[in-house]
Amino acid sequence: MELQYFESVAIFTGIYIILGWAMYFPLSAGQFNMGVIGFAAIGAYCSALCSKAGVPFGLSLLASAILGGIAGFLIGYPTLRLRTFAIAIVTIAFSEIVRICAVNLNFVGGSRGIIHIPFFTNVLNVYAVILILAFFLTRWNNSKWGRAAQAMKEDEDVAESMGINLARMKLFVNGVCGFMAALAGVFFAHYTTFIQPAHFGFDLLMRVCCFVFFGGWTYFWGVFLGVAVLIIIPEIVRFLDDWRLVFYGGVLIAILLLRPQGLMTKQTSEVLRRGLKGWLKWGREEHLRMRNRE
Amino acid sequence: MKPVRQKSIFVVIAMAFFVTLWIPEGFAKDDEWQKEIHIPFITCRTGVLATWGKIMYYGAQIAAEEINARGGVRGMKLLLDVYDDGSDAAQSAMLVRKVEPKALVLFGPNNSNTAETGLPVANSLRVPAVSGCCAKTSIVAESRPWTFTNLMPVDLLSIKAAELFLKKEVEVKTAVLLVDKADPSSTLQGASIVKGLKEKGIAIKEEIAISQGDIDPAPVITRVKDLNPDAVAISVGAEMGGAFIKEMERQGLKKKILCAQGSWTPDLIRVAGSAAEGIYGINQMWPADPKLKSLYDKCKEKSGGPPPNFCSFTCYELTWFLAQAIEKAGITNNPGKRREEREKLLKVIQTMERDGILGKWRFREDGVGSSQAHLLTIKGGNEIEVK
Repeated sequence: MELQYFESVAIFTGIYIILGWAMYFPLSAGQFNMGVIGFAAIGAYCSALCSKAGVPFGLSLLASAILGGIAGFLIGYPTLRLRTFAIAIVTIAFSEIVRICAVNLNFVGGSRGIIHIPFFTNVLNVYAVILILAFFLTRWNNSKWGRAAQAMKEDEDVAESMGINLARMKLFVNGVCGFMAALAGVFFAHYTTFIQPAHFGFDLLMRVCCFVFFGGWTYFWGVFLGVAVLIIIPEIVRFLDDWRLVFYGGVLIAILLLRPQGLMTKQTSEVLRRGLKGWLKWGREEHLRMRNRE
Repeated sequence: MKPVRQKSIFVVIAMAFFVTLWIPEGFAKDDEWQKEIHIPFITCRTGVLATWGKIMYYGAQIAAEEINARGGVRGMKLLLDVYDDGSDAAQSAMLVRKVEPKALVLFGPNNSNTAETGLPVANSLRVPAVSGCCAKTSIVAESRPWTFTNLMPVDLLSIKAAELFLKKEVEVKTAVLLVDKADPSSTLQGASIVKGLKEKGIAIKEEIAISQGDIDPAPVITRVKDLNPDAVAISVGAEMGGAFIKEMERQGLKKKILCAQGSWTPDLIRVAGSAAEGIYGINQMWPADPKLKSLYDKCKEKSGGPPPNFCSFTCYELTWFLAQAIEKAGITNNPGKRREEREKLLKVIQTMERDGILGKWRFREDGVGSSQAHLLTIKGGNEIEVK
């Protein structure tokens, strides 16, 4: 039965990883898109309504993700001329608009939300999607579009002068952000079986920001590590009772002071990879030496 | 900071983190099952509902201390292990899964929003779960047969409030509702009060939606003055409700006021001050009841100042109920017989009647504890029951 608890932790970790990657993706192109919560809410509500109407889960997952992508694409338009924090403000406002609409619309349950959503989320489907997204992000980073996004992040003017279509790139990254965040929202709704507007508020946005900036906002595996560590710490230190959030905050502050770039960057992962390769090579040589002695 | 020192601090933090992996978790070791019964108490100790969660725990704690002072349950000490769900529905579901393997019975999740996800999980895991502050309609009714709450659903309570209020204030023909639409509980209570009033032929002039962030109550009260109803029903947060009542007095607006259960707390009365004189509210018990005075004082002493609310008393009563049920079911607390003993305990919870601070009560078939409703008013700064 304890397996159920670990499964539960794994599923929530997976959902937050997808949300974290949704925030990371536009950040990697220099777009401070903080609207992930709004897109997650759109995905959650859309899939909840579809599932309750009898639509198969796979179809409602896809439809909700596409709707999230479209919303991301549309929110990209007014932010085309904006930079950094102005984008953040507009996208946070968008998330609030989505939440307030959910509060005031009766057909989505108003402030009471939607209950009795069918239970479909499990470890397999969450981590299957994570694998697909990881594959996509790896290929993206090594592709010409990924490098174009990196150039855009470094200096938009120089990137534009090199022939990169900034508008198309921005709309694309915002659309993918919306798509991924909506996926997370769908899994969340079909796991808790209950959603309400309060679930998609500012505190969730802050939590996702912590995952991304703690783990490393310049490398997507950093987000993975950040989520895993920050989900697990509060569970491990439950014995601290009311002080566990103080401990959590302390760890966050300490790590951000020591490594402002986050736990994991591309350089760190290269060092780890070389170290692991070297260790494996050393292990192989030791093994051969022992065999020769025998 | 030098890189070497930076690295050292980093290594120290990482080591401290890994050391915590080895620190044992809360529950009793398996060989202590003969001496102690551990009941997980899942409540909000952090997050937006932290104040409620802490205060209700004191009631349960006092009950557990009284039970242990009398020799415990079947010679075993009754211990409540507190788990914090952070006022978060997702964490609540996770916690129920975490604590269920070693639990005979769960006390909580003790809040409507967290119970919405936690109680269905408890039901699917076939562990009895009782909640001391779950007033949302149909949560336990749809998680049968393993979940229970001894709080009347807020919609039924609000309809009852309207009925009792109109019996007292027979001249009321029109009303206005002030409601916080962003809060699900306030929305439900407000809608139920309106339903109750309409059933008795009262015309609702307007339902004014308030936002929790509104600082200035004056525009809303000016609107109410313009509508000129006979009565004003309030279903907003307690402090905001108090501000509205105070503003009504400031603007010279003398109307009959009915507060929903969620608004009727010591905070509303404190903020409204002298303007609270003569307002009405509804509750299933009221903490200022002279019969409950000693428990009220004990809770206040334990909390170090903040007065208890009605959930402190429901949790107190539920703790005694559980102790009685465990005694009656002949529970041995043997971990090897966990499943069998849960079934025995469930049967007792479903059928047992208790005569406690709530009077005589038992759980109905829908899992809700049968309980009374009291119409209350403020007289001379004190809460008194309206007969």
